[in-house]
Amino acid sequence: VSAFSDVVADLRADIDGIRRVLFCSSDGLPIADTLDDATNGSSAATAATILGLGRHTATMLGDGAFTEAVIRSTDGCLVVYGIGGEHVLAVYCTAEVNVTMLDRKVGRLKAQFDPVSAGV
Amino acid sequence: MSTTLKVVVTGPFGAGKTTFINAVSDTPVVNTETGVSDDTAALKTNTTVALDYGSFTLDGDGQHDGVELLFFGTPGQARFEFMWQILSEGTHGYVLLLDASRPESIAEATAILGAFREKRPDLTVVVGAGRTESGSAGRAQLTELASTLDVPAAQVIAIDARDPNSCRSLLISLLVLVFTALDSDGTGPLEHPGTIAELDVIAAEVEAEVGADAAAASEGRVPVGAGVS
Repeated sequence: VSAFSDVVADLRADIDGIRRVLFCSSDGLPIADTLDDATNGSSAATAATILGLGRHTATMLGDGAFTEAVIRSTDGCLVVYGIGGEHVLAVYCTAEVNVTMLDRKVGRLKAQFDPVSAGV
Repeated sequence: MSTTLKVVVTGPFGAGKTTFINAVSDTPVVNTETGVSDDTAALKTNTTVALDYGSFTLDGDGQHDGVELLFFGTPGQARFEFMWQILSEGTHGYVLLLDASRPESIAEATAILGAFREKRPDLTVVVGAGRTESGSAGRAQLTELASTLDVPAAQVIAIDARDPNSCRSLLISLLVLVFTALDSDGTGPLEHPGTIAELDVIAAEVEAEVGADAAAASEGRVPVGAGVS
């Protein structure tokens, strides 16, 4: 979990507007979450569902592997990343977040998720 | 011309939902499976996280319309309950699969049934019970399951989800019930073949194709037309 805290701190240092960061398995079980409440389980399942649909869609398109899905609402934004083959990173942000910068930052941080994954 | 019906295939983890849709679909199936990361991996190594999708067409014969069934398979774990709600929108009936050899599967199936009934209390269900005992013990199992689930006994059917004939027999049973429900209220939300007699013609053709193997594989299923008045 300390490795997760480091990753979250790193993300927040460079990106404004991050509300919540959730790390879970690709089958929808929460591993680490900056929000500690009753929604952890359903949020992880939702993130895994988005990943599952995203992977299927990417396969259907035939343009390479799934990387991330972005869901925008009027007052917020959720970005779901596939981390390796077995994990999901869900970043909940304000509507104004710079998704391009977030993508780059997460891309650079991907290796840092290995110890978080190993801590499962 | 054909009638299109949406059928949800639900049930607990490891009940055979993905296997069922793979077995019965006559079009390429959409699966969203991923590896299992908790101790349920001992039971099964992969699990559905979004949905399965497939379809099956009963051809019309010129006089009678065909029926196209669209299958939407749900994830089984309770943490995906929101997908049950999403996928059940607009459905005409559902198949509830369970593993009759595991008490926890029956308990989870009961909870899933409760969730569906809460949202759609009048929605037609057929229960497919896998891994039942054979012979009289199996029949007693189905009777007990019907009581536990509070579902009419004729709607609890032994099934082998790996066997397309077994799956299709169960679907015919569901279709009969769905069309019966549409006929009985007279206000069905869709254009359908209209009469159970027409459906029976289609069902008889399928039965003929399925042959004797299905009769053995689907021991305990409701005969086509049973309960239809």
